[in-house]
Amino acid sequence: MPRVGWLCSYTPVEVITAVGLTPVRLLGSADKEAAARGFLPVALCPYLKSALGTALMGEEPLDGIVVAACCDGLRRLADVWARYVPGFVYTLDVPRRRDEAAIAYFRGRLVALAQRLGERYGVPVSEEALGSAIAAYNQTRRLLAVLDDLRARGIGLPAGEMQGVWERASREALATFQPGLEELLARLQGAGDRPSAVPVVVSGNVLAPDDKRALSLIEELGGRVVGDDLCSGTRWLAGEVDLGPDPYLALARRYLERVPCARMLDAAERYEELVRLCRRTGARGVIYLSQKFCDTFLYDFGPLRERLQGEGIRTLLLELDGTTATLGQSRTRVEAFLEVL
Amino acid sequence: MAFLDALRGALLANPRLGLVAPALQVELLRLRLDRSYAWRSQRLLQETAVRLGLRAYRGREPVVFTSIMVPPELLYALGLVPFGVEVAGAVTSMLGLASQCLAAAERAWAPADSCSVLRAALGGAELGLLPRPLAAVCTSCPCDSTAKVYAHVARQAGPAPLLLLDVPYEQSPDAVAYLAEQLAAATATLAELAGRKLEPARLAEAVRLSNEARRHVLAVMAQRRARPGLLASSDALGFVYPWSLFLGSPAGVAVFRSYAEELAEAPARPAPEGPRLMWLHFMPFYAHELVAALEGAGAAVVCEEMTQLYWDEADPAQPFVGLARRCISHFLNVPTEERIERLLAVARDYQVDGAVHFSHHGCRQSQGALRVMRDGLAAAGVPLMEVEGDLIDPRGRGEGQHRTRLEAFVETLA
Repeated sequence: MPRVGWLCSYTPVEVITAVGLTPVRLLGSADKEAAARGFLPVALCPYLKSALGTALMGEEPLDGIVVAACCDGLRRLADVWARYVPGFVYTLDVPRRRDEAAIAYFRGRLVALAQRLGERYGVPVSEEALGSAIAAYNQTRRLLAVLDDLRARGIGLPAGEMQGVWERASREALATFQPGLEELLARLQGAGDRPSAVPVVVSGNVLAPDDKRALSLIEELGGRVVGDDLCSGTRWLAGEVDLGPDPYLALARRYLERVPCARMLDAAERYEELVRLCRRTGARGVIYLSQKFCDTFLYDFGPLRERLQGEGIRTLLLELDGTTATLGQSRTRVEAFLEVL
Repeated sequence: MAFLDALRGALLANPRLGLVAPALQVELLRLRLDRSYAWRSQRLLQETAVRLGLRAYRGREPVVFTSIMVPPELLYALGLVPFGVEVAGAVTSMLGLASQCLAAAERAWAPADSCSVLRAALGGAELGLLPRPLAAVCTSCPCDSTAKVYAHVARQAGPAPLLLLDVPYEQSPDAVAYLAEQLAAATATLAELAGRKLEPARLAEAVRLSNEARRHVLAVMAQRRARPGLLASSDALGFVYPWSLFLGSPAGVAVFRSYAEELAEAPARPAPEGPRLMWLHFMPFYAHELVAALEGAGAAVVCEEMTQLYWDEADPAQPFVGLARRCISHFLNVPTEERIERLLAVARDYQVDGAVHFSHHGCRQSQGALRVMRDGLAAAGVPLMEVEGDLIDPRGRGEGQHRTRLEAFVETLA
């Protein structure tokens, strides 16, 4: 089954699946970032550079890639990919608003994506096929919500392993991923509570595989991650798609109406969601994990911090670049933060 | 003049909101006495800009913060005063206030390695130096930071509502319709906030004036193509920001008419003999020697990407559609391969031998396009040289290194 890459959580993986393709989230690897030097500038998202580096080294064989044109980095990545990496590139326009006009516009973009993929692979996309793909992802969403709930109750996996589950969900065909997830949930249902620790929530953009070390660090130093607001976590697959007569409209609505990323006009709604998440999980602090040079998320930190402070929730900002070099300094900062909490 | 310079310096020594209008009054006086302008249209442009600034700071009229791609025609149709936040960021550099404003931005958690022009504007808002707006209107392009900074300054200088115009990243009838609807809605919201009624005839007149100004800009471009070297590149770039502030106003027509007429009447100059260059992105807003270094090496900058008209005339009967097309077709809102095609057309028009790209620190969208542009232009015989720096912060600018690189580049072209 051809593999099609994607990066941003606004990418409708259901459409790719409906064409009979396997959507594979590109996660990159910090040690491959050097291969992207000279193609993208130093001061650009390390996650995107490591994904590009991995592809340039031929270590992520793909038939093509769907790039949601959600930020400056992604738009420029699409340009570079189209010129220097074999395979097709489809650039998907994603609105920053979530009103009815934006939803209608995005619906049109999803139809165009399905048509383009269908033409390329000679598989006309039927609404039935799309409905089946949506139903399959809804099932995964339900299972991941159970895992998330266990985590909030202190039963779930260590944070690094939990992130690994999200990674597999974003890279494996659902038919192979779901049975493993069901088995894991059955095992965890009977598990006891994890040792008590300082409950914190992690918020931010995307975590590359090497960034999982930041999560492990938090738990190693006496914290416990009880919830997340991450592009590579619950923001990606939280909330089901309402299956109605028009699956494209349902998808457009779900993607635009989900908890917004910092790029969206209503980004401040995320702050409220975060407050609710902290209350629900009893988190005493929020550790904000942002890829370096991600202007939208970094600009968001100031107002988000102010909002959380108003609720008595403390925050810590950690900028990520996928390398262990950041961890020495991060260790000291996380340690101090948890002590204060 | 010395007295006025000293007075302006005193007013800026301890900047406060209440001192900005008096400083602008002094600037207006200074402009009238200043004989150093190479072109009278430049002086007219500066006077027009200062007068607009005075209207914003006097507080008698409703002010709207607008980003560089928001069509000012909408505001003129409602009698509102546009205030460019990016322009304010650039002005902090010209007035020597950049470091103060950048420090204030850092205290407000603005990311230290993002675009300094926007950060300085944010810092200006933190220091209370921006006028109180009725609303802020910004587009989602040309960069991600724009909307974040506008949201911040609207909160800080207001609080005022932020109206985001979501500019699609594709050029299709759907995209134009989506943006046109937003432009209409934003105009209606501004009218409501200002307690005014949008009169279609006034909007049509603003579009007509904008089209007229556009024709004068076309005439300028024709003059520059026919007579390379007629206008210094830094002077030409100074006529770009008025697109975001003056289009749709009688004052805008006057500025661009004066610019076109003056160039048409200018005495002939010998055409440059050395390599001809195209400039990409802006030039620093502080005194610099980049152009002098190129000229010293025998080259001439004959055109700039930023000064090229990229839009068609709008139909006054369908203003929102035409203005939406303009926003969407901006060269910073297209895939880089398309941008290269447009650049090559400019390169052919102006017969350039090479291009220089000023890579402004923190400008992700432009620096990210550099490799593709370099290879795309080189394949068509237009080599590109990158000069790194900051548009408003002169610290660590490395003039010596720039000079060496630019001289070597010119040598390879000669």
